[in-house]
Parts: sequence; C-alpha cells; structure tokens
Amino acid sequence: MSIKFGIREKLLAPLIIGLAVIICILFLFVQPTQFKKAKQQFIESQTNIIKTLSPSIISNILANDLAELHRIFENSQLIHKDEWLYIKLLDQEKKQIYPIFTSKPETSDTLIKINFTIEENLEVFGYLTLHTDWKKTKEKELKSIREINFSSILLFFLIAFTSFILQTKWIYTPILKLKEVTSQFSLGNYSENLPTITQDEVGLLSSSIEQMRDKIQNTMNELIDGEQKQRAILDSVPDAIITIDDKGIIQSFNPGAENTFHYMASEVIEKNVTKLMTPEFAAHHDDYIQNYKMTHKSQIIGLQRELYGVTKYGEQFPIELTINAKTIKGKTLFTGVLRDITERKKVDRLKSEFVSTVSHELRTPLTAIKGSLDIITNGLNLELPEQASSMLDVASRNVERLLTLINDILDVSKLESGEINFLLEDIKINSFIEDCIELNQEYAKKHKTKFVCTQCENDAVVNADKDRLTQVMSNLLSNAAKYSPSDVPVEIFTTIHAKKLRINIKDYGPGIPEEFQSVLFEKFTQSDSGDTRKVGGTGLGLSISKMIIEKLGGSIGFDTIVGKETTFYFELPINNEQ
Amino acid sequence: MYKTTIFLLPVFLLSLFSLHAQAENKAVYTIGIVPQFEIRHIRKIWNPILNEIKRSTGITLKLVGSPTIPDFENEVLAGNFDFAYMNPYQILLAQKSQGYTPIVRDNGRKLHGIITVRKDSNITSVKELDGKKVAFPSPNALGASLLVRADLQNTYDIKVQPVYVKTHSSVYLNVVVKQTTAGGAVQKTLNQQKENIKAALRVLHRTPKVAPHPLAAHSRIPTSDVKKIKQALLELGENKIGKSLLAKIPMKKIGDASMEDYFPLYKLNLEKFISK
Repeated sequence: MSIKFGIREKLLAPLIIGLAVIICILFLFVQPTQFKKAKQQFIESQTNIIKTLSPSIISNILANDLAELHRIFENSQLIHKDEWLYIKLLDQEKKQIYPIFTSKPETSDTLIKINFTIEENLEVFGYLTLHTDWKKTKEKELKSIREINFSSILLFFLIAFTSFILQTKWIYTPILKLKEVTSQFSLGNYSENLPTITQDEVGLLSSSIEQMRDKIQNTMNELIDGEQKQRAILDSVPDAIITIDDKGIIQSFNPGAENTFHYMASEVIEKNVTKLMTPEFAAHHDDYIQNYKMTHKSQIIGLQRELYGVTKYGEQFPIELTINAKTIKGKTLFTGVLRDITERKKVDRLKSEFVSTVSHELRTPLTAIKGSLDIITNGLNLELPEQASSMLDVASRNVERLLTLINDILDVSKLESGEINFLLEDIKINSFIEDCIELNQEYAKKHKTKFVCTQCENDAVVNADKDRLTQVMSNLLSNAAKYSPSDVPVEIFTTIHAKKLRINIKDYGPGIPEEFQSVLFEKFTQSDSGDTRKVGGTGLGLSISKMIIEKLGGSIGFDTIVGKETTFYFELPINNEQ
Repeated sequence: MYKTTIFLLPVFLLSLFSLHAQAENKAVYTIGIVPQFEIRHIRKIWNPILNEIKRSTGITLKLVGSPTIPDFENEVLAGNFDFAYMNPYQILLAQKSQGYTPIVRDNGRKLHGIITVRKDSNITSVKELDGKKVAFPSPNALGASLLVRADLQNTYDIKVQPVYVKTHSSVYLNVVVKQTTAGGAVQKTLNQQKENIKAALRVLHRTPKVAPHPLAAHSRIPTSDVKKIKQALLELGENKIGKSLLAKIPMKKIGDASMEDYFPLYKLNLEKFISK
C-alpha cells in the first residue's frame, strides 16, 4: 500500500497551518494595529514636546524676544531635524512671527500636521502649526514591528521545528522501525527482533506486537505440526484422495491416488480431473459442478457411488467414490475419496457364482427328493405306519423349507449380481392387489386370519415387473399373516401422494421391537430369532423385497407400534400417461 | 578648543618666567565687566588679559561677575569694583558718584546707534516714525536705545512707542515680521545678522558718534598701580598676540581714555531716557 500522507506529513501539517495562521494574524491584524498605535504615540510625543516648549514660547512672546523665540524653534528644529520639517507660529492676531523666510514643505504621505494653541490660563498667546515627518520614526517602528514579527515567526518556527523533530524521533521513527519489523513478519520472518522503545504508547504497541508475534509463531508452529500430521495421515491412507476446484482443476493428489491412478501428483495437479474418468462420466462432470454451484444441492455429494476410473495407461477399473464439497472463502473445493474395488468386485462375482452353483447343485437333488417324498405320501396310496408317515411329513416339510431357502438365496445372489432382468409392463394396481390377495388367501387361512382390502379402489397404473412385484406382495402378505393374531384380518389399502402410489399392508400383531427396526431389511433377519421356528421363513424375504422395489425405482418401509400394529408399505411412481 | 590651547601655551610659559621677576608686587584688585555677554564668555575673553597684566606687573586683577546690567550698575555706583569696564553712559554716572576715571578705550572706532526699517517699508524719513512702534533691545542700551531715543527726541522731536525686545537680534526680527515699524540697534550687531535678515532691512538713520566703552579705575587705587596696569595694557596692544586678545573685548586699537572723550554725552541728556 502506498502512503500518500504519512505520519510525518500529518505531524507537519498542523505546524505549517499554525505558522500560516500566525503569519496572517501578525501581518493582517497585529502589524496594522501596532502601526496605528505607533503613529498615535508619535503624534502624542510631538505634542508633548511642543507642550514643554510652550512656557518659554509664551515668555518670549510676552517679552517680544523674537530672537530667543527663533532660537528656540531653530534649536528644536535642529534637535528634531528628521521630523520637524516646518514650524509656523502666529501671534494672537494670527500674524506670522515664525518663520520669516522658510516656506511650507511639500506634503508627503508621512507628513503629519499638528495644530497647537499656545495658551495659559485660558489666555491665547499664539497658534503653532507643526509639520512633522514621521518617516524615520515610521521606518524605525516598522523595522521594530518587523523584527518582533520576524522573531515571533522564528520563535514559533523553532518551537514547531523542534516539536516536529521530537515527534519524529518519538513517534515516527519507532513506528517506522515497527513497520520494518512487521514487514518481515509478513514475509514469514518472525525471528526479527523488535526495537527497544521508550516506555510510552509506542513502546506498548511494540510489546503488543511482540506478544502477537510470539502467538502467531506458536500458532504457525502448531499449524505446521498439524499440517504435517494430516499430511502424514493423508500420505499413509491407501485410498485415493483428490481435491478439485469448482472448475474441475486438481488441487491435491495424495500418494494413495498416485498408486491408484499411476500418475505422479506433479503430472496431474493443475490439470482437469476428467482425465481420470471414463468419457461417459466425464461428459456429465462439468454439469454436476455447475449445478452444484448454482443450487448448492447435488444428488452425488455425500453419497457413495460406484463407477469407473481410468489409469495413466488408459485402463478402466471400478471405483467406489464419495464426494464432499466445502466452500472456503467463497471458493468451492470438492474432495473425492476413491477406492479401487476391482478385487472386491472379483470376490463378489466369485461368491455369487459359487452360491448360484451350489444352490443349483443342491436344488436338483432336493427337487428329486421332494418329488420322491410326494409320490410316497400322496401318489402311491400306501398304507404307512403312523410313525413312518409322521417322519415322511417331517422330511417333506424340511425339504420344502430347504428349497425355499435355496430359491431365496438364488434370488438374492441374482439381484446382487444384477443377473435378473426385469420385464417391465403397466400394471393396474386395483386388479393386481385383488389377484395377490386371492393368491395368498389360503396361506392366511392357515394362520387363522384373512386379507381384507379396505381401500383399493383407484385406477393407478405402475410400470413394473409383475412377477417380481407379486413376489414382494406375497412376502409382505405372508409376513403379516404370520404375525397377525388369530381371527384378526390383515388390512390392505392404497394411498397416492405426489404422483407416487403407496400400498400398505397392516397387521395388528406384536409390532417390531425397537432393536430390530434398523436391521430389518438386512439379510437373514427376523424380528424374533426365537420365534423363527414358530412363524417360519428364511429371513431373506424383506431383503429381497427391498432390492426388487429399489431396482424398480421405488422405496420400501414400515411403521410400527410395538404390541399393537405394524404397517409395511412400498411406493412406486405412477405411470398413468395413457 | 585646540586652537585656544595652542594659542595660550606661549602665554602661559611667558607668565611662568615673569612670575619670579615681578614677585615683589602682590597687590590684588577686583574688576567688574558690564554683562553684555554671558559670564562664561566674559571670563573667556578677560582671564587671558588679566593673566598678562599679572605677568607683566605682578598685580592680580580678580574678575567679579554681575548677573544683570542693573546689578552691575548698582555695584559700580556703590564703588564695589576697583576696576570696571562699562559703557560710555555708565562712566558718566560712575565718575560722578565714585570718581571712576577712564584709563583705556578703543581708539579705532566710535559708537553710534542706527534705526532700521524693512527694506520694503514706505518710511523714508525719521519723522514718519512719529507715534509708531519702535523696537529696542532694552531701555538703557547705550547705542541701540539711549542714543537713538535721545536723537529722536532731541533732534527730530518725535515720540515713538518703544517696544523692548531684550536683544538686538530680536529688534531686527520684530522689524522683519512687522511687529514694529522700526528698530533701534548698532551697526555691529546688524552686520552679525544672517544674510536674509540683513537683506530684508534698510538703515533709515544713524545717530551722532560717541567714544566706546572705557576701562575705568576707582579713585582709591594708587596711581602707580593704575599706571602700571594702563602701561601693561597698552604694551599688550603692541604685540600681535596681545592685540588679538584685546580685540575680543572689543578693543581693536587700544589707546588712552579720558573723561573728555565722554563729555559730548552730557549734551544728550541721556538721564531723561534712562529707565531706573
């Protein structure tokens, strides 16, 4: 910052103004007044001289001693030769008796005419006129006035100058020193010693700055320590951590990122992040950022997503990405934490393949066993001992259970690996619910309850896979029937809100204990494990239902009051365009 | 001052030499001088002369000052001075009352009064001054006042209004500024006036001449001492230094004086014009 008027100029300004004011006062007011006074004094002094001469003038007039009178005037004129240019004396009859031959001097600016009546005890003896020149006195007075003025100005100037010098020494110089030292601070040099300064306010300022310097230094050290620790953490994290600005330019690139993308940090910093993305994602990346800048809302911020990254060598690999945005001093920075999930994907795939293979291999013999058991119990009309019949029944039930479990595991596996293809069609919800109820009414009877549609009259249509949606309905209805008390119906009703259709299945069972509510949709979970035997099931149904509904673009959830009721529901977008 | 010192040095040296020779005469007399000038001036003129007299005769003459002319006259008439330098009219009175005898006087000139008027005045004869204001220095000034007033009355039989103006210079100024029509004075003082004053004046009339101021001795002084002093003064008039000393009295040409020189004054009846 350039300084236009520094402290020195500001200290100097009042002194200069003061000097100017004094000069103005001296020359505009004091000098004319003194001058006028001096003139008045001069006239008075001249009059006084005449007054002192007056008695001898009277005596000589009375004695007719004109010679003495002339001598007095001539002597006086000689004594006051610089001033008394002309004296005229008239007698009582105004006849001129002095001078005889001298004529009046020419008038000039400095000539003063004083008329004086020579009188004593009210008797007039003559009239004196003095033409006195106060040029010399004026010059002398002027000189003296000027000397006084000059001395005053000089004195003021000396005082002002001394004060300026002292102020400079006491205020300006220490501040300048402080400025130099603090400039060093701004360059990061905190080791510069502060000048030792007097015990005044500037000294206090200096010690305050010293304290501030120490504090800054400590804070800086702490920050550097913290920064080093953070960097050590960042450097040791196996995940890739990349920071970009709101134009997509890479600001930081940690060692984890170097390992993941095979780029050195120096190769990508200040480059656009899109070079780390597949062309399909890169095409949308700028829009994401612009959208976030405009609305500060984003569908991708804070969410974990899976997509593909591109290495330095052009290889694509799966990554798991979480993006966070932070605005610092008006600049938005986006931090992406990425993990290479190639291995995990591989393991998942192997697991799915294993499960599917194992399930398939199990299902075939089980189907054969089930068929054989059915034939033994129902097809051959054999009279079996009661004990054998009972044992066959147990075997048949357990095979059935096992098949259901395997089918569910296969469904989960297929859903997770994405092997299931949905056959989407428009489904009229009204008739769809009626069909589902009819399909599962037998099961309800088994649990001494029934399904009642309390509010299903609407003409909503959803676009979904009918079989899979039926699977979800069956799962939710069977769960409701299982937990519903005897002779209390399960209620089914639909609601429409914000172009979404909600199907609710409400039972008046024991409700879902609080500790299970959060894990209800996870695999192999049932509200009461101890109850599994009684109610049956694999604990995969809700998990499968969730996956299906989400794959269809909907959502699933429940409301429950423990000991009173539970309502499971799912929502799907309405597709009533036709 | 410097000049005076140079001038007096030889006189002083001479006196030292002669003191021894004349040591036997230790007579001391007083001398009074008419105070026409300031006493300091008078002493300056007379002391060197008195020293010369003492050097050549051994007689000491002690100068006694009088503040005013009337005081001087009173002392003369009382015979307080052994020797006295006085005006011609005063010697008449002094001779009569105390027997003062003139011993020396200036033989080079005679005293007369003048009447001046302004040069542009229309007065052409003394007669025209009748009844007019005329300035005089003082009533008893011999040449300027007594001789003039006596002449005006005795010769022209006119009366003027006298205005006494103290000094001769005042007389001339009064005439010039027309305070008076004319003024009585003496030629010598007229000559001493400034040129412009002189140029503004014209001499209308001169009175008859009389012998000037004598130095007179009281009748009680031994004739031998009077003679010695007279001799000493006459000798002084013969050398250059002494002559210049005497000229200041003024006595340009010192010579004998006798009462006869002053008899014409009697005819003027001056006592009529004296103001007592």
